[in-house]
Amino acid sequence: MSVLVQNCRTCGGRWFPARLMCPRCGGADLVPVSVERGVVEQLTHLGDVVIASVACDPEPLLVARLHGAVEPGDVVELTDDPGASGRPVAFVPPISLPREEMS
Amino acid sequence: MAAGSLRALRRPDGVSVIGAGESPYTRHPASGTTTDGVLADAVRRALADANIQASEVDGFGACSFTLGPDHAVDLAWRLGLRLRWLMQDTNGGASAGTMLQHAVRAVESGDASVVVLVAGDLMDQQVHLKMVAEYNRATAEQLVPLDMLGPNALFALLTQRQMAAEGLTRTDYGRLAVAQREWASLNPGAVYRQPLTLDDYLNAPMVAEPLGRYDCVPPVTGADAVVVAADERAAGMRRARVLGVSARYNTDDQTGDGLVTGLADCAPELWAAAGRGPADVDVVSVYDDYPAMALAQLKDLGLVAGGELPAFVAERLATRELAVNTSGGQLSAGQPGSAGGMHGLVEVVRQLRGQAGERQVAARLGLFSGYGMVLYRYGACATAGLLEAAG
Repeated sequence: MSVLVQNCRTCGGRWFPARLMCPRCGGADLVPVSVERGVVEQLTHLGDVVIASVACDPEPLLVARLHGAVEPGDVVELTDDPGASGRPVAFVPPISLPREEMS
Repeated sequence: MAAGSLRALRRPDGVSVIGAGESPYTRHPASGTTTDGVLADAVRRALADANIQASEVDGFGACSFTLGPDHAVDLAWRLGLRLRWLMQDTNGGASAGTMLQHAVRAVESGDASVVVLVAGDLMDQQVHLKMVAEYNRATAEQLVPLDMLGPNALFALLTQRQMAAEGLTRTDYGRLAVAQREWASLNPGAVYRQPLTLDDYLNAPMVAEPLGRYDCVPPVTGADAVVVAADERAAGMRRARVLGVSARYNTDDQTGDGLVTGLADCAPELWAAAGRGPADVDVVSVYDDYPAMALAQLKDLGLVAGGELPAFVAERLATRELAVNTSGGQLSAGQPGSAGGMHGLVEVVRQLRGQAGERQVAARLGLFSGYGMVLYRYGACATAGLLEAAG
């Protein structure tokens, strides 16, 4: 399980949601890269829905929906699949990337 | 070139807000209420307040989330305005500063002589839900699929970060909400005027912890407008002279904790331009979509230092010793869509022109700020302006 974020091949910056140019170096060589886990920073409840800020190492910061028993400070697996997985995960909807970047 | 045009191009000595108007806010708009109807109502009220005829207006700026498919020029046409300067703004809670920054330069340069700026929305529940679902592409693609409608959860997470960083508790935020309600009780235009106690605040239904019902602005329908003109045009009129306007957009690419707004960068240049400091301010309107953001802006503007927020809330806000959000702010007066950004400017102008009724404070120098446009994790637009009573 993982989610795709953007990786700048010029400076190494990692971005989510997708940018058109790298905010750090201005480069346009941005390619998708898989990120498998992050650390839950804070979480809150909207009724039954648990929304969290999840920090990847070293970046980016993601807004995710948590499933399962997860507490702030926990390392959690990331998934872009909204379906139940049977174990604790943080769901992050996939970014839409320009077609040429998907190759 | 005609003499009139030459005169228009002369750089004026100062530019002021000479009138303000607000179309009454309502939680439940009457059947038949329209966006352009409330915008027009605010424009008419502002023109009447400034004693200016529509035929004298040659500049117009508008911000509205719900004006479509019309644009600013369609609205100008329906208002019968013939213009030589026009702008449409999309910056919601920061729109007053955005538009005022442009309008002041337009008048200074001679591109316009009398500018009307208006913001407002029809905001019934259906419209509100559609707006928050389609706010921008990141919202539609990355947030709505989380079953998260609207920004409450984002600002709940931000508020948790601010509590940890500044040593704030729910009681501190409650004191701010209670103080604003006390101001609102003196404002016949506020939608919530009945007393609010700290217990009411703390015991209210939770929305997204730590945010309860009284931390979240109530959407309302309404509109706000101001009239901007050169001082020489307004000789003898009580006015609010613009000493400076500053803006920042996307200062951190959403990579921070959201506790520092673009106002932290605006503030030094604003104080320098005006030759004043935070201690000189008599009345303040900060954008209060959530109490945490009101406090973040007061800190960024230099009205309170980091680490001192709990004491500041207790000693200066709760006591209403510092006149902050004297209309009741959006938390009590209501958030009329994009007019939320104009609401604070209208209140500062009214205070500086001595039109604030029972809530009038002794005010020579007024400060307003705007904040908004959540890109993904928090707002990205921040504007602030300083105005001084004149005339």
